Amino acid sequence: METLIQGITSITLGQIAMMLIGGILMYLGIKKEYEPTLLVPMGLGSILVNFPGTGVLTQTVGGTKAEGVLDVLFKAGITTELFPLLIFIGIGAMIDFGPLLQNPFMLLFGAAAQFGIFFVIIVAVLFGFDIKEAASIGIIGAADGPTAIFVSNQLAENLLGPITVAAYSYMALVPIIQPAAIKAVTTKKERQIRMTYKAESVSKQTKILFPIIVTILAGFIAPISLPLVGFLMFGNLLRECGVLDRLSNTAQNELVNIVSILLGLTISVKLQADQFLNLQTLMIIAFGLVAFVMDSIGGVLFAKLLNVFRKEKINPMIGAAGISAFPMSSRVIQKMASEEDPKNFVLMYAVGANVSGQIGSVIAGGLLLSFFM
Amino acid sequence: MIHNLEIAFELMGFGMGGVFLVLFVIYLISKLLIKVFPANK
Repeated sequence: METLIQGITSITLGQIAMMLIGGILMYLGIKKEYEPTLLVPMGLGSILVNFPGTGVLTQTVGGTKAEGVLDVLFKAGITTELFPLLIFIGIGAMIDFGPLLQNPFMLLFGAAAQFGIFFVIIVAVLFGFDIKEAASIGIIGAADGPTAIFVSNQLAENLLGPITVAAYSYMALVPIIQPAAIKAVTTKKERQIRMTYKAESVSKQTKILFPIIVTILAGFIAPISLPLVGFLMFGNLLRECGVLDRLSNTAQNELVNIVSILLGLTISVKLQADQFLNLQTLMIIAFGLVAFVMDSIGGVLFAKLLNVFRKEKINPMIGAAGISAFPMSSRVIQKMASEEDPKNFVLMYAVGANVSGQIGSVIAGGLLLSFFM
Repeated sequence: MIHNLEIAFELMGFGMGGVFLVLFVIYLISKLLIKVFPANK
């Protein structure tokens, strides 16, 4: 009888709190549809790993070590970086660089909107984190879950849990965070700036050569970023080459779906009460919000700076679309533009900046890693 | 902490400078590709 109730009597308040957090993650995923692909598996995973003596984690039973399935998956997929990289192939296959290549100037916004990453690194250092931990917290500002996992796993594996939760939660909250941040640094008149749509025509050869050349460039400048950039661009090459449609479809659907299931469940290894419930976690979640806000502000201020020198003004909200959260951010910008002026269509520019943000975020992640190598 | 702060500022210069540099080079490459391989009208 004692054995049967041991689970109830030995559970700690922290473990119960983590189960409640798991419940909240599942609620956000299912009811609010905030990044359900990751939050639902992470939510249930959080419950699974917080039972005393849970079989999903490695336990010693009768003097024998019994490997837990989630620990096995963690070693195979996260420690080796395999899961986030496989997801990158799928993301690459989903991205159409066409809107960016039609307006290559938008690439610069993908750089400016990485500002939040580096701003938060300084903030985190001021709050006592060491430089590698601070860099891992800053990468939340990449607004890109796989990049955040890839970088933080190498620089501060102990913070992987809260960083992943923050990265995916704030990506889902872009429609709430960005309008507030943008309105804080723009006037109504600036938000009403109309942009005449001019686009270059893009040939098939250009679309095929683009991922290949970006890979080579990344290889020369920051070779440590090649797993990120190379896998992203490989996925895009599958999409654009025109002879591997079956592989492209598999990468976009089956591959991403299977790895997302495994990634969400596996990350929950880091959601154990004794590792997650502490002041650091609260600070990381707060800093993640700061990173997203400063990304948006950095992009907007850069666009305003360019407007000082340009005859044809840019709607500064386009700058905020330079984050990696695609296509959510570009939709938010178009919605805001329409609210200020129903006849203002900036969507294609915003999409270009948003796609550029996906390249910018992986480059930023790679540069962070190369700084410490 | 002062030492870490110095590194953090250095990282900001390296990171932002690096991202701008790489994306600017990609911008130039994109312009070149569009010029060398124009789309059929």
